[in-house]
Amino acid sequence: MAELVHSSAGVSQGPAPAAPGAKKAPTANYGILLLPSIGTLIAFFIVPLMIMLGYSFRRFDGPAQVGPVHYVIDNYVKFFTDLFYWEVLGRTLVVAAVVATIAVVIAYPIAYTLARSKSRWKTLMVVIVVLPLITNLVVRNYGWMVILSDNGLLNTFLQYLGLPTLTLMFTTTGVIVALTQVLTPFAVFSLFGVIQQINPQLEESVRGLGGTTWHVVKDVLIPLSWAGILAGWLLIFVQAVAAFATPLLIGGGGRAGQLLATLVFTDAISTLNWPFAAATSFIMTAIVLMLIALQGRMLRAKR
Amino acid sequence: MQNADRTIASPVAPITRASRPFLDSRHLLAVANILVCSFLLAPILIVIVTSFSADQFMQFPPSGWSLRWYVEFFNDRRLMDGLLLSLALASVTAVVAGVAGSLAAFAMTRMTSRFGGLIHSLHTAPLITPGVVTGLSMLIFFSAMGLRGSFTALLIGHVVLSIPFVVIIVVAGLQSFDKSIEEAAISLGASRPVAFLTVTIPAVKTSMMSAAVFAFLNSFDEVVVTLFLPGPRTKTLPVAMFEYIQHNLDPLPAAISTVLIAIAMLVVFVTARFGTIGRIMGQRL
Repeated sequence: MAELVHSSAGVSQGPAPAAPGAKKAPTANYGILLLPSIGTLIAFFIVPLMIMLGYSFRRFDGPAQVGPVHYVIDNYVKFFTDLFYWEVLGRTLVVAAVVATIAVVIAYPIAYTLARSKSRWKTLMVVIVVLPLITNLVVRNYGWMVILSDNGLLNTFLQYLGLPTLTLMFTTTGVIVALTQVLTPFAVFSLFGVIQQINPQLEESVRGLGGTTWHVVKDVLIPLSWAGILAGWLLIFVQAVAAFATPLLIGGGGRAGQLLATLVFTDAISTLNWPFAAATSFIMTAIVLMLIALQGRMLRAKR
Repeated sequence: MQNADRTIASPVAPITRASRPFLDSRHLLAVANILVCSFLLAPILIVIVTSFSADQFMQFPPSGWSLRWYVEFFNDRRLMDGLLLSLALASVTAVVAGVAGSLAAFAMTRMTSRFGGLIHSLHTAPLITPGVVTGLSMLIFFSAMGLRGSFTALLIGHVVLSIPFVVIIVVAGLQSFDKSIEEAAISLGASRPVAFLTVTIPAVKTSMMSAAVFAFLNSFDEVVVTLFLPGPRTKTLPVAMFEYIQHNLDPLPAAISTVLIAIAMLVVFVTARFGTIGRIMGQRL
């Protein structure tokens, strides 16, 4: 997203490399190869974003926005002065933070095993980790609906054991469970890279000196994989903030489903309040950008 | 490491394999791995099992097994239309994004321009922009153009979302290609376009193929932006299923899901045969 801001600033210069220069003849030829994709991306990605930015400063005057154009900051004021939106914002950030934290914790053993072991189960594990990523989003959510619904698999099992049943569909907990499953693979990949770079002899020497597994984890693995932990956490947090299909399907129309991204979708499709939906999505983007900047600063400080 | 030193109370002998307790950290690790893998697999496995249910409603375990939901799926006109639309859309997207993205990847690895960074950012931006942001901006844009709910709008949206994957994969392929081979062809008398077409393209053909496959899969599975471009002609199979499961909970979507999983697995299997899955993952993440 940070890069996006730069690219939009340079829209007009986009095809500039194609400009003929006396000594740059080969470069100019290559510039022509760029035209189809740059043209597509500017016309159908950057321009719509610019138009949407304009919309976010317009007053809502009916579904088709036919009224005279006045630019106002009403939409942004509305977001920050209505307690309802603060609540949605808060819930979004909490859900994303919980999902990211759980995902990094449960991804760690998997990433560690993939980085260290030469077991024949390794290939199978890679397949299992990649599977959620290549499974259709709707399919995954449907699977969770089958498991989490009131007379779903989980509750049938709990009843069989004589335990009290749980209400998970249309709750925040359900949304967190489903989002965690989808996003854990990203944590595995970002942790895998850093764990692989940790010298196994460090772990050996801690053990050799009488250290327990806890010492290995606390004094070797966590400090040395901190960059991967942080990167994985943020990658998942950002995606959890932006997720909208899972909250919509698992969270439903109630509070649990009301997150920033679902708010944008409902405003866009149901109430057709595009100006406000545009403002909400820019607020969402701004939060994501601030966190990415913060992470960059944290990583630099760590070095 | 200073912390490790602190733990030495007495000169303990290094723990040998034999002296390890029965339930040591390796067992804990194995248990954790099994639990997490089950968690990751659960919804996918459940869907596949459910699809063979003979029950009218969702229940676990199914009281009997049948293929009735597959029959229902293949006899449902709307769902079949959705499947055909999805396949057509994904195919066209793969070709268009594959060509445009590959051309861009060639240019990006060859030219030295002060706009290089900017061009690269532009080509990866759709990948990192939240889906709702892209979706809403396209809804507003295509409504203004009078293209809302059209196949064209859907195709353009999917091409925009697929170009980044193609560029990333083909750039990776080109970076591992030894450029001096192409230069050798030129010094042996081939013109630059001929060298490019007869030496470079065949060498990175597999990257281009897997990029197109990835674009196909990306389009075939896309729901986020597609949901923002509603219309009778934009009901792809995943979108039709999305709407169905919001109101019904019977095993029909399980049959659809299993077909979708099978198609994805098939495509990934083909891509894996090209040996580029690892490269794709490494680049994307």
